[in-house]
Amino acid sequence: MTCGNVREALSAYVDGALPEAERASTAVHIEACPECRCEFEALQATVNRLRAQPLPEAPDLVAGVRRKLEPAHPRMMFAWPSWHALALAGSAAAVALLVISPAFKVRQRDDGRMQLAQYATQASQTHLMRAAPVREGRVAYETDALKADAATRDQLAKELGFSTAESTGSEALGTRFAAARAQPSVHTAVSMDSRVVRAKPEALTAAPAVAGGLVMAQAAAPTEPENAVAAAPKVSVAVARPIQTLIQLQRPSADPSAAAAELIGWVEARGGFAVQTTERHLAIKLPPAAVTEFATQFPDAHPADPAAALLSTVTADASQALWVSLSLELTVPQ
Amino acid sequence: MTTRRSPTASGLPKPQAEAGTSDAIPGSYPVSTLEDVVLVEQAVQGQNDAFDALVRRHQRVVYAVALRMLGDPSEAEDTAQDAFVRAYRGLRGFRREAKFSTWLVSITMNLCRNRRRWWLRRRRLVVASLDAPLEGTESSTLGETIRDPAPGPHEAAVAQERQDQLLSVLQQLAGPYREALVLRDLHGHTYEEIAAMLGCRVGTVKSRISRARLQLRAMVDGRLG
Repeated sequence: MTCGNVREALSAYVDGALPEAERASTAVHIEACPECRCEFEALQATVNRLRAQPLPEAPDLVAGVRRKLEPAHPRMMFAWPSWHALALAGSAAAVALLVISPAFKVRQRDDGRMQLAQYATQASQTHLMRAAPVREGRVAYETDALKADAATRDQLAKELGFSTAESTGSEALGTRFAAARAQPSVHTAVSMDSRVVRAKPEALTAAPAVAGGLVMAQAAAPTEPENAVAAAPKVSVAVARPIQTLIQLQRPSADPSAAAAELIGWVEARGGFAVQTTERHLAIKLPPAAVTEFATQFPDAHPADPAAALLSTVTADASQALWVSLSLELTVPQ
Repeated sequence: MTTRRSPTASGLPKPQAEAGTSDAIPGSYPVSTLEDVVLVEQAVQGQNDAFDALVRRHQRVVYAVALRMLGDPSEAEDTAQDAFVRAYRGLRGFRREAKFSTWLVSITMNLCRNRRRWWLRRRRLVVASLDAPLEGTESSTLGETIRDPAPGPHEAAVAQERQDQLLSVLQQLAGPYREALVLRDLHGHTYEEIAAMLGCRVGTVKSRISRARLQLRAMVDGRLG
């Protein structure tokens, strides 16, 4: 045996995992060759040190596991990483009025997803109420809110066209939010809306709903409050125009990990967020400007014509959206 | 491979721990497989106490795997909980011929892989320097701490510190190498078990372990490799 052979075999030799003949010849070589013997001893020492590491003490997990097993517990919200992503983006949980679409209807392929769907329902009810008044008969699907400092609020207001009449964007946004909260009557209407949608997803056909598992909905414009009250300066909510919301896509992929990594990198390079929620599912938020590029970059994400048509609809309308959310399932290739 | 053959009577260098003798390795936690089977059966039938018992029996190993893979205690705790949640929901699909502990560890590994990828994207990992002085010590560096296993005067604190440093070093290994090394040298799984858990061939496991050990040694020695 050469030294090269022996070095390659050393690790398995340390584990006693070599075939008998190889093991014996390795042992003989090590005995004869000081360098290889030195290598062997060093490797054995490293392995011994690793194996001498005690098992770290663990916290008791029973209570935490039980909590997570309770259906639709708010804790799930923190277990779902996209919330971390949103938090990192500056949306503190206290003011993040994200409404997850009930159309974020996840197949119950594994239980984790089922949990997500349940939570989404709960979020819709809670956060819709806080988000914006909605005209009856329409459905608010998603609201993006930002905890913003004055400069950011100004920028946001500018983007949303809020600042035309008012002195500053901050004030305008604060005013609108306060006005929205000051209208308790809208709460009922909103929660009714969400119930309707949960029960009848086809109600979304006002927007171009498409076969093949693709659903798109349009959020309503908030009602215009007549008498806006004083600003609530610490909180801003931005829902000014109809926005496109959730698009469900499928993309065949033999290697979901690699595909997910590619998608996440791509999306983040364009200022969006992408989070792998399960092995074969990604939740993506894209700036509207990137939607066209996304469709070009990942054409197989919408193999069916209706889907492509849908995406182009979104693109055409995207200037009015804050974010475009994609629910992308990495399907098993046929 | 559980047979221990003395290489020769003449005292040729002999590997000290052989694959398959996992009971001798601190990373493996002696748990009766038979009791697991009974508890799993009871849990499937809806006895929550039985599942709680399973959690208590295995939480230390599951947490240790998660901690060593992720390097962060709170992430590890959360991931370990998720692993049990996933196990609970998959209990009916659990193949009885597999060991429950092995199955749990492979679930944990998968979760760690996803979670770590997500964290890496956000560049939240702090990579420790082997040459920088350790916090709270005057002179020793990470390399020295890992290299020297002798117990110090404050054994508990030192042990904790050593564990922290081990975690830091592990985090610097590439994912597949870290997985293989953690399962083999820290948790005492056999090559065959590791191959089954990671879904790759035994030969792949063997070469990953070999490379991981070399890399680790090079890092601890303060050399690049």
